[in-house]
Amino acid sequence: MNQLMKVVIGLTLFTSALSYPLQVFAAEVDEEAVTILKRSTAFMAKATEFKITTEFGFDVVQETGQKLEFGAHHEVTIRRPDKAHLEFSRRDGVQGRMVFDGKQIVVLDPDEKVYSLEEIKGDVDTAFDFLVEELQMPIPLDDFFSSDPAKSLAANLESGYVVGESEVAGISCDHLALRNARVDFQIWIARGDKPLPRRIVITYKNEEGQPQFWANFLEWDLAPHVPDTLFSTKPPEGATQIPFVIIDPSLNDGRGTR
Amino acid sequence: MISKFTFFLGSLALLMFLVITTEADARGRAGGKSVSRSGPASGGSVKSARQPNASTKAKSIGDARDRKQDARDDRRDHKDDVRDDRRDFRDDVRDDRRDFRDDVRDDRRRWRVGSVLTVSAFRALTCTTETIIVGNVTYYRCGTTWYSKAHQGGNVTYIVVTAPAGY
Repeated sequence: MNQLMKVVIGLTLFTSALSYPLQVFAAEVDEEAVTILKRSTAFMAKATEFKITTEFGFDVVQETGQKLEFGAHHEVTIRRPDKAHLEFSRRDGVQGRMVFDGKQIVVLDPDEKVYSLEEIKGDVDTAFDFLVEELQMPIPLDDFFSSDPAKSLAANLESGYVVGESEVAGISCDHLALRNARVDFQIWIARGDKPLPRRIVITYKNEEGQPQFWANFLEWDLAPHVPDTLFSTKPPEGATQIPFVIIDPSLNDGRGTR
Repeated sequence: MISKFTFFLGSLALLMFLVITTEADARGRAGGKSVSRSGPASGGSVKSARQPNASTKAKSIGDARDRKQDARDDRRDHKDDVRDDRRDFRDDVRDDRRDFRDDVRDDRRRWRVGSVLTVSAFRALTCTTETIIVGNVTYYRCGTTWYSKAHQGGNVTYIVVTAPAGY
């Protein structure tokens, strides 16, 4: 190989190595996937009153590294802008209810005959953010209850493509594979004039053991016609009020009194 | 020499056993095994910015303030006219009020690790708990430790509290 050939090959390799990551990065979020996703989030955002029934499960990585799955059945009713009702039934037998009426949130445990109440004024988004971030109460799938689901589902995507057509519980769906910095997720969106999500699988790729969360959307009722009383935060007769508490590890460092 | 070494090994084994059992007792038990029931995946959200482990990592007031300060700064950056200025001022006052309210709330809400027991951990306590109602609060006494119920992370739990007045 003469000297000139070496230089040409060297330069070609160098420039292709430089441009390769740029090309891959630019091509990674596929237009078609984003279009399908945004059509779905726009459709969800238009609903003013709806009821979603879901069945979900999630891995909890134990200290041994073994993954255990826990899960629940949820029925969530939202009436925009400021009413929400969530009824849950966990696999371990614990049942409960959360109601938000625009002014306060009440969380009830009928078996223990207790409830907790917090005043929080605002819309459903404010209430769910408060529950998750301030009260550390997980509300699985809250991305879908938001007034603008695109804000979490279609934001900061690093990669996205259409895997293909896939049938979920007899419904023909588009199977999308998406990634952001924190999670990889797959979402199955119904084809046709009601592009609603039917299934989601989330992989927490940065966490130890890469646990997954999955959910099947069993039913989307876009006209549930629920009575106003469903959103009543009046606690049931005979129930005792208990406080909401959060665990703060910094208090163990000698700060604070509890 | 050998006996000293054996003694050392024995103590080390005992220490390890104690550490492991204490660690196991700190969490819930299921069929004699300690089981963790929530983690990053129990959140069920794809938000790219959310705290990776909101169920165990408590948010500090400082963080909340920084974020509010950021939001306020952003708003300031975008102000164009007097009306916006006036709105900014109103928002600031409202934010300050909210900051103050959050501080008060957080103080009464925050509990240290180890002072919140799951229902199963509470039932596994070796003492016979005595139920005492004072006013409209139900207390549970176990030796010299007092507990009352609270909601934590979507579960009913027992929290360590100070003894009610008169006890």
